[in-house]
Amino acid sequence: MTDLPLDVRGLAKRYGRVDAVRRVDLAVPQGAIYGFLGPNGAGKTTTIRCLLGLIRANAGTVRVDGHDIRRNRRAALTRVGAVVETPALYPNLTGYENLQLACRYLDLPKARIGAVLETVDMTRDAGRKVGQYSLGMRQRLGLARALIGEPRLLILDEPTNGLDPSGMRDMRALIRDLPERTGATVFMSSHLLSEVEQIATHVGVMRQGETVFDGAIGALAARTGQRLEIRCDKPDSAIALAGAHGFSVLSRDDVTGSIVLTGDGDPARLNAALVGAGIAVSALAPLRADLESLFLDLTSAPRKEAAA
Amino acid sequence: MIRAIGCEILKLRRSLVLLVAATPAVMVYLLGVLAMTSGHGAGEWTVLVMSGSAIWAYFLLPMTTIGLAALMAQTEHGPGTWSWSLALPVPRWQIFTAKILVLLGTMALVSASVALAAFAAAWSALLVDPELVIAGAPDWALAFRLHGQMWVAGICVAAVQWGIAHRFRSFAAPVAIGIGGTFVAVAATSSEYGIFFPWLMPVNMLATDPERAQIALALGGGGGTLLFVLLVIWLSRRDWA
Repeated sequence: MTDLPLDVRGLAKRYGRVDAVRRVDLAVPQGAIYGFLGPNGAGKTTTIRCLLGLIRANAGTVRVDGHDIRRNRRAALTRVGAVVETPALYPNLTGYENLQLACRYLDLPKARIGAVLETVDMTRDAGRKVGQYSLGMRQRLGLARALIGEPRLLILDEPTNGLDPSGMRDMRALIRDLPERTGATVFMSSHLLSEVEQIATHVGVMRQGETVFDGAIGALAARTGQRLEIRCDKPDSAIALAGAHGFSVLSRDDVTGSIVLTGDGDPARLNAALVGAGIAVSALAPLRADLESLFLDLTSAPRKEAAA
Repeated sequence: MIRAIGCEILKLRRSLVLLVAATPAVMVYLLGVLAMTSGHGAGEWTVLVMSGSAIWAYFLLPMTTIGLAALMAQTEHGPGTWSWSLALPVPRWQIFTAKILVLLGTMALVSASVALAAFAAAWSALLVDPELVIAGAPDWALAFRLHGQMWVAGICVAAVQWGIAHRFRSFAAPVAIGIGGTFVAVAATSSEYGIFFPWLMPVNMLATDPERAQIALALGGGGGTLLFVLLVIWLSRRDWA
């Protein structure tokens, strides 16, 4: 057993002349909920397929639970549960029978079926054919099937995709509790930044086939400079003064009079300078950078960093 | 391996496979009853067995193979289904081999049911029309030997259909190939080289030249098994994007 249930180094995958993934480095620590982010076409799904040994990478290594996925696929996947794309269930079978299939393949006792059905709150509907399930029920049953082998690593590809707001909320709550309830480390891809922000402890950000960030979510927030929002009666003068005090403008809204600044300057000195220059300041407050702005910042600029 | 076979059988529960598997026997039975009660049936048990086998080998065996192979493959072609099956910590060759064994096992059961259906049709016709006379005695050995040989010779066409059905997501690909193959088989029955055509190998079990039947049996059984082995190796090693 290793402290990194998932460790990816220099992963690359090429289809003909197209680089689907150029270089992916990920270190997913034990017990984390790891949000795997990136715009469409960034290479998230290709990466996930490489992690599961569904496609062979051209370069790099994927170690799952310490085992190299290429050299020892079976050992690597023994303690992995996955839901890739939509939950791949057999619609002609009942929910129970779908789980029974997983039990048979993995040589597990049938008692595991009841346990995972309870975890995802699907016990009551287990006898119905999956073809009659709503998407939310399928997602939960897919999650139950991924959990049936008591995985150390759970890989979820867009787990809330297609769900209504209440289904998304329920799924988020379920995922958030998984590390504590099951001991599993969760690796989930998502394009919903707000979702990842609410539940992830770590994030990896992909851009054009490369990881541009891999680390704790706190480290991601810390790596951007402070942001200040000011409101005043003379925005042009205020911006000129802010520039002289080590700030630059991130955004400006002339309707509300709001100016968002970033930089390493001292907010108190800037405030004093604004007042001293006769500018009426109605507000000056630090802004917390949300994941969306961090994400946009990372995926729009060609840079690459890693944090512990 | 036994677990993988059990899984493949479970996957077929409530699917259309049972309907497809039952159709040939029902067809042979109904056709036999209608032919005999209308005075156009075989007057001898041996001819009855041969005519039932001919219908099976020409049309019903290849069509049933198309249906079963395509339906079984479709259970896995749903969105993300391969991703789940092939990301399990189970050797991939076991998953594919289990699918093949279930297909061949089902074909064996269908073959046996078709053989029985020919006899059942004759007995039903005798019940309906007590005046009817069928010369000789029911030749069980001939029936099961012929159907057994046809099953072995049909392994090659089963491998072709299975390979196409598993390689292509679309239902249309295996069905189009299967219909095309069956049509060519009918058109080229008497061709000298027909023996090398997978769809005609089961038909050649009825050839009057025993050497021709032996060659078709060896090509169908041996070639089909070899093709299945190659398909398992290829499917197990390819990327599943």
